[in-house]
Amino acid sequence: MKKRQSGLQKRKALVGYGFIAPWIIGFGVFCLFPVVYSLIFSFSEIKDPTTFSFKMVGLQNYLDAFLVDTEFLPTFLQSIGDTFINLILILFFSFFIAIIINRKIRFRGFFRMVFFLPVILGTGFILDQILGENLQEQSITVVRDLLFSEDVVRTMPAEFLEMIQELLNRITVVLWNSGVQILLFLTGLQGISPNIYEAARVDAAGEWEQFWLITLPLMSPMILLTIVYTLVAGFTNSSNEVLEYILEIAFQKNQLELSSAMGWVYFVFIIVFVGLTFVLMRKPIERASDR
Amino acid sequence: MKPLQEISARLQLSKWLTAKNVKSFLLKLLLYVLLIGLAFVFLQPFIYMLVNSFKTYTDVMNMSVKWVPREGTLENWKLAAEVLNLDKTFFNSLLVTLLSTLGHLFSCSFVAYGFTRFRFPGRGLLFGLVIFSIVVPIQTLSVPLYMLYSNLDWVGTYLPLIVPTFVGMGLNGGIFIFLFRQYYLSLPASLEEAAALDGCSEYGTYFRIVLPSTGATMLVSFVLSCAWHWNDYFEPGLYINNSKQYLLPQMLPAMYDFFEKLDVNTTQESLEMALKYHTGVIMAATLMCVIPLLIMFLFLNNKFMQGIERTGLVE
Repeated sequence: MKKRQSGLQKRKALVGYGFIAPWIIGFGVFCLFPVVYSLIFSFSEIKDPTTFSFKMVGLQNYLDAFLVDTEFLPTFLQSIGDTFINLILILFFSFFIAIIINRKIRFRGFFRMVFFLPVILGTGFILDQILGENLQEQSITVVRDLLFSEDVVRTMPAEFLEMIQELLNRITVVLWNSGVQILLFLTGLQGISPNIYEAARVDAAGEWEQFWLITLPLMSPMILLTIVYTLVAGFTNSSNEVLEYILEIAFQKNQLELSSAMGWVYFVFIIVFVGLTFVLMRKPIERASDR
Repeated sequence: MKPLQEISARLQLSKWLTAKNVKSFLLKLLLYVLLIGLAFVFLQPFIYMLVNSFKTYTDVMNMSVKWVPREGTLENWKLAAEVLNLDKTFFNSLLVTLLSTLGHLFSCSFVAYGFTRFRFPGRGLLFGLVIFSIVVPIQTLSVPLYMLYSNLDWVGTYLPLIVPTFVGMGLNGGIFIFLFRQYYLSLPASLEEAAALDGCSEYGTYFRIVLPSTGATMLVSFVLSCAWHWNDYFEPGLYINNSKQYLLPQMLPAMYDFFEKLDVNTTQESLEMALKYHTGVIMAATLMCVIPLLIMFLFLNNKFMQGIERTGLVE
């Protein structure tokens, strides 16, 4: 009997492998193979670009990335800082928007559609086009026209105006990048049973208390998922400056080895950073949502 | 004073104007102002582009013409269609987008089922590698990938964009595996067990019972995959260099080159002038790239919303 059981398990495992077989092939060919290759590149020096014959040079490329190249490290740090600030803003705005469009409001269908525009347009050149300098300038002037009258603008110090412009710029970019996050939060909110709120209302809990005691704890797993998604999306986004720089090194300066090394530094950083975020936040979040 | 009191008494103003009511009214007002403001950030570029795409050059340059064009023109749209090579690139994009979306829907739902319902050695590690494939930026792999595709003789075809999606890779393939897995986790296994008792094989169970139930997740994945593939210009830019095969979003950067070449002796200023002169065309062209997605979204919006509510991303 026991033998048959394990035979069944073995068969089940085989079927499981059958299901994931396409992915195993795909991962091997389209991910593992290029990953291994770029790892080799990063430790070597290409002798002949036509045949890709190379010799190993150890950590030379990595040292070059940090010590010789003067732009890599500042771009890298700048991008980390940007991603981090954007993360906080994105979390705040998308959570807020998700809560609002999950409520019973007028024209909910319309607002939902508008807030999902970034989901379908949030990637690619079209977005860059939409957020192009020209348009951004335009949107800033529109907002400014709406918010302040000519006289107020004239009396305001220039630095203050610049600060406002920068803030508005950043908010525009952040909002356009929070499509999927709004979606994730909305899914999370939909998953909370209305019965819990009902019970809270019976116990005379106000909306504010409901938010802090029900919504936030129950949403915390979703918040973690959104943080991880936002970090990954921010780091791998096609308009990310580090990636742009790495591509420039590879394709315009033809320093493949150096660009591979930079790619690996960046990549290991992403994995460690996202992994640490996940591990460090998992426990407190599980505790919060179990309450 | 007396008539006023009378009116207020008749309207029962004092009863209505309690502190609580005023507070909730103000809160609501604030909420709607915020909503409209946020919605404006998303809508403004479209309105701006739409308006400008109908403006003539003189209207674009005239600062006093802010929103409504004085003399509307369709010239920009005609020119944009020509510059984008719309009759070719649109169908190229459609073909690639639909095929690679089909690949994602098919392969990711299948693979995710294997990851959810079966126990086998190395499952955790392999799923970790799925996450790995999401996290690794495609840009850092572009050179080895290019070498691979050129060895396979795939460069200059759509195969590098389409084939990986059929094996669960490609643009954000891992995310769809994750999405489908979340759905299967929320699916009670009892139906599948019943099918197994009736002698249905695992693959038969999957195709006859599980797959037809994935409607909502399918739809969400369809919309996301379509949008991502339609908008992507990085990978097409690497592998497709024949102007006959260009995809629609690739044409937008190419359009700048086009205007650049209009001028014989190009300087930075003359380029800027050329671009300014053609603002209307650029706006029309950008809208042309966006409109197919918008139409798809308009049609699927309601279903998409229901789908979001049922994807079971939360257990």
